Amino acid sequence: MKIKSLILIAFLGLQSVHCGNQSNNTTASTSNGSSTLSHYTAKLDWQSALAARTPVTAKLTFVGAAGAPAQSVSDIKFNPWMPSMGHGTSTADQRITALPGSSNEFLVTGIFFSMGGDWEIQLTATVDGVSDSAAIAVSVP
Amino acid sequence: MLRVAARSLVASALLWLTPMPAALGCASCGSGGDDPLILYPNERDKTFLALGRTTGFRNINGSGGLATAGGPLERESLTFAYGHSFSLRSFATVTVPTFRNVGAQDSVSGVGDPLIATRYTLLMPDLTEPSVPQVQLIAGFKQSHARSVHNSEDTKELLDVFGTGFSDARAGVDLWFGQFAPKFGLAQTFAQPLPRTYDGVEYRPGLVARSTVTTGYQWSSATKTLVGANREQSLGLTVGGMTAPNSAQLNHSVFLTQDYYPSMSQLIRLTVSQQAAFGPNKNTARSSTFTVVYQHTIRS
Repeated sequence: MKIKSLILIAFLGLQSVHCGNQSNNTTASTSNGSSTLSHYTAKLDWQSALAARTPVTAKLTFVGAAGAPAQSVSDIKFNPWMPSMGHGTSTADQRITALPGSSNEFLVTGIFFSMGGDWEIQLTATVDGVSDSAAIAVSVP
Repeated sequence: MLRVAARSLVASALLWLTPMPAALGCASCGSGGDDPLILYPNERDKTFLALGRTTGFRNINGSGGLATAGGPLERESLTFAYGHSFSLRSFATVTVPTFRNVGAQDSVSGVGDPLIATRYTLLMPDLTEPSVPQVQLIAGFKQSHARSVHNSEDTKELLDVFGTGFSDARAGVDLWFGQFAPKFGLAQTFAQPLPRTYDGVEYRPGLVARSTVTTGYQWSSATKTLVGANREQSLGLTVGGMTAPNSAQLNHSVFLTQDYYPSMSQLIRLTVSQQAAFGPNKNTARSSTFTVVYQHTIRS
């Protein structure tokens, strides 16, 4: 069943780390979801230097169109995919945990890019009862 | 004095252009392609054994930028090939590569994708027409056998990946100006990978075009040096009916080959090659390979 879509915006955490944990830095190498129904935004902030062949961590934040935190988020699927090569990577060590005391912030640990290049994060989630999916482009060095 | 020098120069030029024995060959053999064995018209059966080592892997992304490579840190290969001629003009070869992928902690060995290739010499080399090239038509089929990135069980290190994941049918033409000491060749092949389904999703790689230009010099009947370049370009990948954006691939490689014939029936060939060596490259990998080849004609 098609439900209203989710807009996803990625923020390169690598830049944030190097710039003293400032958020909302450059959106280079990122892309929005394909939908224009902007009920929700998922922000992706890399918490460790973005790198291939080593586990990295990202923070996922779900907010509404006005910037209000989402009240409930469930069924999150976080799948790294390399579109140009048509393959994914191991998600065996990947864990998604809610940040304590938060309804809309999640930490994704153990993200493993098996090689450098142009990846996308295929993300699906149900946010306040609305479910959809989108892709976030990531350029892994 | 000047007259003597001029005569000497003319004599050198004539010698340079004199047709050489063991002049046959092809533009694409020794170029780093996967159908490296060729039979000369007088050879009935021939064996081929190659040991290779590939190092220095780096990925190149869709914008041409360097990135960390996936898969092994080093790849060793042992390739067997056997060729049989059916007539003066036609022969077929079977090539089976085996690999050992070496990772940081472990290594995995396996068999790659076997290839059957045939060549038909449309235009034979003619000593009375040394400026006319040998023209060979090429046809082949590579059977997908090995694991690929699409069905690897080692999704972190990809050490069990020994193939592309797709069978392909290929055809091409090879022109070889080989009758003088300086040599020159051109080859153009096309390979169409066959679609295949993984996890219920159909993958359809695009057509692959490979162009080879080769030049070299035959120093004596026993030694020959070749250098050349390849351009390999593939159209984009279609996954589940949707073309993956920016998935076309491009790779420009170079190679240097030194041949030594210890006898009429044996060839020792050393080849160094560099993938993604020059020009624009995208969605591919840079690496360096050193290969030692031994070929033996077992029946002439």
